Amino acid sequence: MAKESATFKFDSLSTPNIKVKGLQINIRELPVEEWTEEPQGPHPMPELVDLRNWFHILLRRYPPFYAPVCDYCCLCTFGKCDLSREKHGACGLTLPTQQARFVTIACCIGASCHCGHSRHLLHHLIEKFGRNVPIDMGTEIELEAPVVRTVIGIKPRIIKDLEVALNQTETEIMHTLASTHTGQESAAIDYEAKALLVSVYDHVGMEVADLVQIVAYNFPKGDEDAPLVDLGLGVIDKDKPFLLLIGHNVAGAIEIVDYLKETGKYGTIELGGICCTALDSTRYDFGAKIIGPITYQLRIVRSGLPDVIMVDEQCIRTDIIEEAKAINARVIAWNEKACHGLPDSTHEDEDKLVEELVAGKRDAVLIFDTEKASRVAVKTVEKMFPIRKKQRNLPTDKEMIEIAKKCSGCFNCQRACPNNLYTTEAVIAAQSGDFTKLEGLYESCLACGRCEDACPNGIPVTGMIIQSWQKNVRNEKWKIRAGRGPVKDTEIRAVGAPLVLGEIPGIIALIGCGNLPNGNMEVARLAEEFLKRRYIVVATGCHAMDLGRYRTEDGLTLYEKYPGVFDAGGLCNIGSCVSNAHISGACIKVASIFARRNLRGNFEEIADYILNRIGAVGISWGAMSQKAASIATGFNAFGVPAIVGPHGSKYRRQYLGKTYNEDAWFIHDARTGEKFKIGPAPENLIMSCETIDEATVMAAKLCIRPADNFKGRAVKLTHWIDLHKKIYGTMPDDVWKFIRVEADIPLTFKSEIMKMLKEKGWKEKSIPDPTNLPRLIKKKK
Amino acid sequence: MIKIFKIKPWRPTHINGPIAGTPVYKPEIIGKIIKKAKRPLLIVGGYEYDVDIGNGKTYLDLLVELVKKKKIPVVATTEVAKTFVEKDIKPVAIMSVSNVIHRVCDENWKGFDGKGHYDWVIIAAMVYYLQSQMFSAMKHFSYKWSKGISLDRYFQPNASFCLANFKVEEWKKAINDIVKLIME
Repeated sequence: MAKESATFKFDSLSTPNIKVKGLQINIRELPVEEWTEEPQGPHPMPELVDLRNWFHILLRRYPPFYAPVCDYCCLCTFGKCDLSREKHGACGLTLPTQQARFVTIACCIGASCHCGHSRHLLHHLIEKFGRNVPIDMGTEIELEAPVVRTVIGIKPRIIKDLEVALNQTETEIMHTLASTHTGQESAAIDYEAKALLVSVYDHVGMEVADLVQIVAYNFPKGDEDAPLVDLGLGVIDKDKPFLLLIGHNVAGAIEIVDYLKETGKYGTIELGGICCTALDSTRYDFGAKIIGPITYQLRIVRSGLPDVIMVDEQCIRTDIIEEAKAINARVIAWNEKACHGLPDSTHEDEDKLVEELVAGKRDAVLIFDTEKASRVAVKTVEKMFPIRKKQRNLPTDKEMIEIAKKCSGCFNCQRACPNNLYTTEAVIAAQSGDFTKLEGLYESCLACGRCEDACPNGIPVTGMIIQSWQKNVRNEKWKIRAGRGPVKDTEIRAVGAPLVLGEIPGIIALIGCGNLPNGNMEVARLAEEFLKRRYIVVATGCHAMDLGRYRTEDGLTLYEKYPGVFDAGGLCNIGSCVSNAHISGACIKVASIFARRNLRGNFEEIADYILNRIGAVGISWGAMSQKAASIATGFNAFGVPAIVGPHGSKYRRQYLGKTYNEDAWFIHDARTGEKFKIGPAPENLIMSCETIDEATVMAAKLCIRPADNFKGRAVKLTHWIDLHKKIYGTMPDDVWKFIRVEADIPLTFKSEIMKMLKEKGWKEKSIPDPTNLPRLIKKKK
Repeated sequence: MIKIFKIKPWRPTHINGPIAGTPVYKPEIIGKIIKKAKRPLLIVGGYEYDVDIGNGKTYLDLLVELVKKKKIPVVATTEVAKTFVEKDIKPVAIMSVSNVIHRVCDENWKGFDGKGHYDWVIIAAMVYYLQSQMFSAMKHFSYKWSKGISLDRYFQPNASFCLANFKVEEWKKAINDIVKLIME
């Protein structure tokens, strides 16, 4: 057991310079020192500027591209300040710096959200199971916490050891947030460096959250054969009471499952959820059900099916009580971060609370005790079910015709729609009983409800879209593999070499969020394209669900068709939002297990390794939240590029390489110290793509890395060129930039490429051992 | 300069700040600007490019005609590239719109042909909010050398010029008129 604190007492201390009596020194935290296999690296627990050097290297190659959403700053009372063009705010701030500041704030929100979630879970689990729960990830995972080892520089043995990691994460979030106060950073690049740092800590927070829930709740530990579980609106048994879970913190859901099992009621209640609470509840109880991602909240609630809704934290509709009230359902809240204006009922009599909820004297209760909240939820749902009048909050077909007649054709609904759906036309068509246009909008609709608020005549447009689809709901039954958790060390041993050498063309990581421009099918088809090409495809959060809600030509869901193994052609549902850390973790594991790089406090070297060698790309096609901002920015910090959908352009900032500036594209050969010009690989660090086809071509391109061997480079180029030709109808005109030696050229395209190389006056170069860090050069020239 | 508009942006929340471009009611204004442009650059995106604009033509067909006849350099940002290639038009780039506008906003960029910046960057067939973001970047960071025009039917306050939330049928006529004027 490592020491966590120390006290030194000196009754008297005498040195040549000082004499002291009764001295006591208390050291609150000592790092865990049982990790003797690796020396401590240069940056354990990096503070605000410790990794600034690495981030500036990244930012020089991938300068930020800013597209402001707002030209003002209104964060202090000097404002509003107009920052447009070259103007300065009252504090001297410019528009680019304000954009970077805003991104930094978003990343702080995202990181603190995961870290707060993590802190709650750790505290809760220590209280429940004790501090000595071993971090035992099974026989195939020895490298249990790659992100924590790399960033914090500790090797945790028990869950209590992870407090050090969270303490440091909280400290750095605090310092980063402090830097966004009026009158701090003046250069955008320094805010960007801080956004990158805080997002590295976001991955620490996520890893801690998922690790502790895996070991304490015994979730699957990298199990490629984790069971297939039910997904969809049609999977709920209407003959049973239905308890709907919404949010991201699984603690409450697990208390419910345990309570049902303890009381012999397991199986008598339908337990289904939205978002990551649902995903994580199926990692504990394979009988739990997943309704869908964030965009399914109004769909399920307005259907009238839920009898009770239990909410925890993150991405919960803030009008959930109002929506629940409209269907005569009750809400139980238990998380401190989402109190919904309710009085604290933690210490009130449990049976009385149930009685008042069932009688309709209360619409919702707030109980800061997960066990008690869960008991209240179960008891309430049991009592509500037989007496509750199932009340839908959807118009009937007959009512829809009458409602539609109120439409004045003002287009306010369409103008408010995030996806610019043709809602007005659809409502007008419904006036004559034609609901096909409404039905046609269903899959692209985000069910956000903005159209309803925009309508001057009170037409429930979202409700009408949902209603038009009702006849199809019973067919919405899908399968998703329960979240498997981290990639196993044994899998890394098998794929490490082919990944680094490029023979497995890449890892396509579909990383959550539901703000999809055209529905989930696009994401699933992208995944299928890369699975057929034998990339490794991993998914988390909302995107893990998006992949399940799709059938291939042979009628199978992707999870039924493709194995859950982390290998070429495998599809891994890694888990929930916090499981994203296992994707950065897998890249780190390659550096450690395959390349034997030391991890301990060695962030820069590991990120440099990943950027140059591991062809992983994150795709967050529906990126929406601040958490998505910090997850993606954290991936970037680790050297993993990311693509976001068109809505992602509203994050204000992208990191885009200037391929026309050849001076930006160089590395050092770690063997000789020679400076090498390289092809623009990867070309961008975070970018917004407009269509899924564009993202597909770009993802293949972003898998190219400077260290690919010639065979691997040829494989990667084959896929990129093939997709480029298929989608754009032509050979990419910059392919020559990625040819280092003739053996890099894919045989299929050899004559075309050779012609291009001749035109460009191309000369063969050697393949370096790339690094961006001069300190890693073994022999300086 | 503060402008008060009689009309709202198509997406009413897309009011970034005090500087905004001009929504035009007379399409020929846009046609004339493009016709007089010294170095225009057309960016064609992947949104509603297959809309029928009359005479059996799609929006993309019309843009292809324009590019072919007037030799306007075109960037295809998405799968529309295939149509240009099939019509024997080589786009100056097949590239993400963000990568293009990133270049446009770089004062030191020499254009796709090495001859310098484009005075007018015209965007067509691109989803509203993405256009809005791209024009926002241009409004602040390239306004000295490159200005933006939208050919779609919506009022984009961040573009220097655009149409004033035309109804579909009005826009179909307008886009035909604009292209005709440029090609005359």
